[in-house]
Amino acid sequence: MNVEIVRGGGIAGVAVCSRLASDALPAPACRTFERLAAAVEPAGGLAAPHPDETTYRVTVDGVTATHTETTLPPPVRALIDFVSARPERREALLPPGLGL
Amino acid sequence: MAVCFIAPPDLLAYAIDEGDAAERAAALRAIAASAALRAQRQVVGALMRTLDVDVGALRLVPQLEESRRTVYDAEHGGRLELPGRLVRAEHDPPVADAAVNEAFDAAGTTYAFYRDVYGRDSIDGAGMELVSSVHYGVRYENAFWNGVQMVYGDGGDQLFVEGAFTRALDVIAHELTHGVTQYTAGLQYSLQPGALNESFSDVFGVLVKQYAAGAVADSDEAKWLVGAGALMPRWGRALRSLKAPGTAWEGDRQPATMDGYVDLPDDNDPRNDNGGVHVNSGIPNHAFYLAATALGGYAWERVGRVWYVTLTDRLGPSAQFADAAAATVDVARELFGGDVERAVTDAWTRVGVLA
Repeated sequence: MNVEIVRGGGIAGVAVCSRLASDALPAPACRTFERLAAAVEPAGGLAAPHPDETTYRVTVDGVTATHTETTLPPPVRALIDFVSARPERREALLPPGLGL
Repeated sequence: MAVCFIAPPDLLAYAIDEGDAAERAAALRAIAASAALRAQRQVVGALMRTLDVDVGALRLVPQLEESRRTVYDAEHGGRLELPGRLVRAEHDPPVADAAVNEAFDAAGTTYAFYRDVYGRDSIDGAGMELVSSVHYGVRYENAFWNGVQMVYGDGGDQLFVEGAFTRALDVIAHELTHGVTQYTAGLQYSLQPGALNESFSDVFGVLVKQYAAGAVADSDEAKWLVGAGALMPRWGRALRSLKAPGTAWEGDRQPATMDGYVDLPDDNDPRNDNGGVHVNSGIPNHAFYLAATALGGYAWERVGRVWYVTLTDRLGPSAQFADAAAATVDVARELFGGDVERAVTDAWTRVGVLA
């Protein structure tokens, strides 16, 4: 499985993209990762966020869910926290409007 | 009447206006529930304005008697744990946690600025309690106004120095000003209205900082930086510069004039910043800087007052840059005339908003 997480907004208005693939992980972590990723359900139609609120776009094998900090479902939060803690993730800073 | 929390605002408004006690209570509970979700700001803000409903009546956060400031410890929990555990209220002595005291003190400084300079009683103009939660999430790299309270992460992960959000008075004043905007102009957080929303927060963020320091308006850039020292040094010196937009940090793409306007879509893509609200705010930010430094003196006294009256009395949710420019010129003429009107007109002309 491949997961991409784009975190944007915030007081700086900057986006950070994190990517993690299951084949980069050791077996026990891989199982946890795939379980968390499978729990993410597609979601879209992000309404206007609160000022400076973090916005998230999580893509799991091409399926995308967009949320804000105040609407983030716990399963998506769990996946974000897992990816953020893994040293195998790849990350890039994206100033507003710059593509990947 | 069964009221689902996804009920549209006009239905909830009808229930509050026309319903019996049980229906009204159900509608208020529905608003409170939705306030934890995406519709929070839209629903709450609209109802506050149209129905004169006090946020305290919604019980979104605990309201303490005789309290102007409260700080809670989110204890690294998420949105479902807000506001967290109460750790300091008005008249309480400082606690051992620096973040708590910083959030408490900066909320007080911002409150005093609005009261003493513009006669405004808190965010809503009616004495609303200033609620802050610190230690939100785990190394969460942000601070934001969620429609009813301030939320501060600890930072220290990729971009921000640990503890940056509560240490920076201008950042806290910036966020609290988003609350003022919510209760006044209600500027939509998208495209040019969103950039104006951001700009007013930057302007009053630096004005609170200058007011606290007793600083006059001149070309010293330190006075015009937002969030100086908040970023890890490898990224840059501040989040934004009103004097020199686009130069504050490595990823700073802010234009200073309309020639550099960045046309980004508001398309739910986090990379596009709600249509560049933190990007194009550089233009009205720089207009304020030009007007304030042209006049000198204390910026909050004249140009700041012009911007305050414009925000609180002249603009609506969909205001564009041209609307803000025209309104500030009108207010400058009405309040001060002469040199202030000329300075404001010249500033908007130099950034390309007025011809």
